[in-house]
Amino acid sequence: MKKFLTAFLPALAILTFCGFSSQENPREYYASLLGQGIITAQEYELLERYDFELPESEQLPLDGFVIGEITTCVREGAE
Amino acid sequence: MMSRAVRLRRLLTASLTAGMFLLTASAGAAQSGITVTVQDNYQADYGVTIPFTRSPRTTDYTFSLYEGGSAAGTPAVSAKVEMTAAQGDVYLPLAYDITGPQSYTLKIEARPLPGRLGTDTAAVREFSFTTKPTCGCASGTAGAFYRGSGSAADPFYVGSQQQLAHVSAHARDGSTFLQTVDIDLAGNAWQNFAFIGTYDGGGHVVRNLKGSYSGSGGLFASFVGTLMNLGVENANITTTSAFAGALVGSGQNVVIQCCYAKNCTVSAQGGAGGILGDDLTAIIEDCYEVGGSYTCQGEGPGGIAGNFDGNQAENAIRRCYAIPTRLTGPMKGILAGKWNYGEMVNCYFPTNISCGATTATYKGNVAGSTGLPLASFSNAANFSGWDFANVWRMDAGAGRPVLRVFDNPKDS
Repeated sequence: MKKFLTAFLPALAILTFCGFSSQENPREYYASLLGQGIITAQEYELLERYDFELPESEQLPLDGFVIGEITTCVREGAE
Repeated sequence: MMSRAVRLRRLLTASLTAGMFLLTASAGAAQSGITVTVQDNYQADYGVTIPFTRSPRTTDYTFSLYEGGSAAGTPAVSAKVEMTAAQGDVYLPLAYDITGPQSYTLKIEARPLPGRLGTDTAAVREFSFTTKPTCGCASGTAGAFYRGSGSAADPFYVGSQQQLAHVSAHARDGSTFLQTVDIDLAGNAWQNFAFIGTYDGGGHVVRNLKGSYSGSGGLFASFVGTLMNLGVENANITTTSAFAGALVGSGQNVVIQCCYAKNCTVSAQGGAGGILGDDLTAIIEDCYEVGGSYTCQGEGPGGIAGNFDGNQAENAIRRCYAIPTRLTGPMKGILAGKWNYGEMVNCYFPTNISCGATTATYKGNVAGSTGLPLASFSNAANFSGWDFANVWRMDAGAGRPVLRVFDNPKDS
């Protein structure tokens, strides 16, 4: 398994790099994401305003998650 | 052209995503839409549940638990959490302290999805919490249980002297308990109590119990239910009333299995024994007594049981032996003192010791009891019907059988 991962991950990285190298320009890339519903029209407009390179200050932090009360328990399936 | 930074970021994200997929592929999804991959092969058969509502913009998280009030140093446990469900419970294994409250800090890191790397940034939030009793008692209650619900499948875990004492607070509701450590009661008078339920000693020992009582004496004053896998050593118990046993004073509808009493001194008005003082209905199986001194003013000192004269048919002592040091008082027997309706099966007592009695019970060597020279206790072949493969083993050093459950005690 370790050998497989050692060989597979670099190969995947190279393929991915090559894939991106031959991909469309940023406008086309983000238009594609917009088309897939991954980003919103509002976000696309914002990206466009910054020539598709949003500064960190304009990026949205992913802090919109919520937790409830943490409780102790037995392992799932152990009971 | 796409900038080099954007390209590199995408490349890294793609590689990481691929790696994550490979790592999580073998991890079972406990809840639909939630895959938790615990790092560094950390394992515990208990832990914490975190109700979690994810950000609508990412499914990619890392949960880390740190001891104390801040996320500093190395986390106790860390896990990658891939969550496609909008909300659900994230379970993390965590071997927290079961004997009292413990504070932790949960750090949650949310990472952007590959397609949103240009629009979102990672975020980290921390949440502090302190473990709470699981037995329904208020936080801060001395000896409260921090693991288990008291059910047969999820017993209360008894891991300290205070928690052993706290058993009394839940001893009347049929709960199940599991002792996870040896407990030394030296220096404190033991306040015993009536018990209804199941107590599993887990192959552990209670040592140096000392108590003077006006009611039934013993670790448990009275017992209804099942008592198993518990040893009591060096107990010193006196009662001014009827019954006392190192483990149980008085038993009614009780099954006692794989327990022992060693080097105990027990004194009562009537019915003093190593395992049990007096029975109404009792089954005692695969137990032994060694080195004890049992004294009664009235009737029934015995190694395993004092009075074994219950008024119902279902009374039995099976596969037990006793090698007491001293039996004092009327109606004495090496295995059981006062004897009436009981059944004895494959039980053994020594024929050449000077303990004050020479027969299995005060009624003599009843059916099912066999006397052996003490030297013959070291030969497993002499113990007919005993399971030496699973329950007993011969201890060459002690020259007698001992119980296997104490070789590999359960722990927390």
